[in-house]
Amino acid sequence: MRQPQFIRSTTFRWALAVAGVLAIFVIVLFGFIYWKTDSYLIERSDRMIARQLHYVAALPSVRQLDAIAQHLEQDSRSVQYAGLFGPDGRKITGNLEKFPSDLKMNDSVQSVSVLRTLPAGPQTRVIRAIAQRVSDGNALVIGREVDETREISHVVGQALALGLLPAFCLCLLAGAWLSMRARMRVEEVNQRVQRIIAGNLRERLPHRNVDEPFSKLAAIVNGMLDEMETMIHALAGVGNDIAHDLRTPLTRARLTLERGRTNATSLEQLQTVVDKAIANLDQSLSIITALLRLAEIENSRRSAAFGSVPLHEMLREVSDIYEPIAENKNVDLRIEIAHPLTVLGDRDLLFEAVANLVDNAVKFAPEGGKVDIELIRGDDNTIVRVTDSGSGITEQEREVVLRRFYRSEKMRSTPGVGLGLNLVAAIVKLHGFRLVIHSGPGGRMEIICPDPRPSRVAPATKT
Amino acid sequence: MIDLLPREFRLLEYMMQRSDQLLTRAMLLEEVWNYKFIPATNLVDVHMGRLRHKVDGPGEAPMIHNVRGSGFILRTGP
Repeated sequence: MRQPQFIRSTTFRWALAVAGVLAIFVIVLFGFIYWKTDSYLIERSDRMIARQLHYVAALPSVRQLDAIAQHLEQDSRSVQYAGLFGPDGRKITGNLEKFPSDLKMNDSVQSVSVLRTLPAGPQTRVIRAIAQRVSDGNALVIGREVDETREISHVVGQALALGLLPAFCLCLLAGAWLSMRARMRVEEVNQRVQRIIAGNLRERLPHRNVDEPFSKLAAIVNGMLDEMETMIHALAGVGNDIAHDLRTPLTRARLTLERGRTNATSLEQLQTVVDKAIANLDQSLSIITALLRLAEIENSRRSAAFGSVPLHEMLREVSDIYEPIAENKNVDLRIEIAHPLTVLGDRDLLFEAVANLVDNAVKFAPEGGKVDIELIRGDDNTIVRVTDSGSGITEQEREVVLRRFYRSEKMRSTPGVGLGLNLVAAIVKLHGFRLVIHSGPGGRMEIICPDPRPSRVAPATKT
Repeated sequence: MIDLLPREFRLLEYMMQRSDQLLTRAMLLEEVWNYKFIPATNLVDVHMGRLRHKVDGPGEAPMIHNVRGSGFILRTGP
């Protein structure tokens, strides 16, 4: 049963609320108009009565009777009242039988009730009247029926109220329609999403290029799907890379062993063959180990082991390790530490990250070149900078260089697995630091460690 | 009297504590230098080369041996 569903929908409820507010507002507005109209009509009528009174009162007494008679004659709708009474209250002329009891003399126009005799019988009417004492001590009364003006107001009010009901219904209808439309759009989106989940990554949410919230949302989700698609393809690509890079040394090992088995004649030859095979197996193992390490880091299982890491000491250790290797290439490895600086992190991981950067720097530096390791302070951060005098990374390579297994073409010949920078990036990300790779002549890599914010909670203890 | 740098000394100390045992490159990297990630560069070889140069002087029987494909071993006896 669809009906209760759409009544319960938020859009419909909103429409109902708006319709309700509209109705209340319209009623108040109409009430105001009614009241204003009423007041105006009465006021106008009062002014006419008063004017009439003053006109008649100003006449000489002999003319007064005629004036009253004429006034009543001209009253086609029988709404006018007039009367002239003697000092004793006796009626002289007019259509009022007696002087209205509650009518104040020489005052403003008031509401009084009078008795009127009609063909249908005597009736009490409420009229607006004004009285004045004239010459000879007579009392002059001029009045007018108020019901007439009331009728006009009534008609106005009715007409307006009749407009309110259709407006209210229209509002509800609009609400219902909007609610159904929203529902349909959501259903449409749901269908698409189901297809995307089922595996069709290429699907996108439909959206007209209209500036409405739903379309904007669809555009945002589409952007997200684009990103996801890229990532998934990248992962798939990496999967291929991993398989390939794992397989190559294993294939070599197998070939070597196979050939050795057939061709080796002496124990020594066989030992050589076995050595080669082991070397290749080691390479595969190292790839697997590195991947597992990466996975471990990315799963942040190590974030519990954060402590205070004295960077100055760590950098000295790194430079210690790589000094012999740099020397072999005649590369000048220098370390520059401005002040002893400490950051919060995992000592082993940070060591690996920096060692990787230095390893790369030494590899890329030409014979006789130089590599600099610096520890400096920036504005509220600490920077570890590794520069080398090699050719550096080009603008295009900067993006790709962080991918797993990416190896610059220049380095294809050197041993290595291409996981270095990816590892560094993962470690840096785990610590909440930033890795900046500069392009252009000369390699320059920076790990930027922002200072912890003062309100930082103490790190979790080792589990 | 041999002049050793601190890192070389650490390496020698480690090997002497485990004399006559086969020490793989991975072990050395991890335990002497806390370097758990297996790098591609021949770090250990280079350091070992230096050490051997200083420790195994010419004319003496070499103490540090390279076990092909596996690692290194420090032999105290003949």
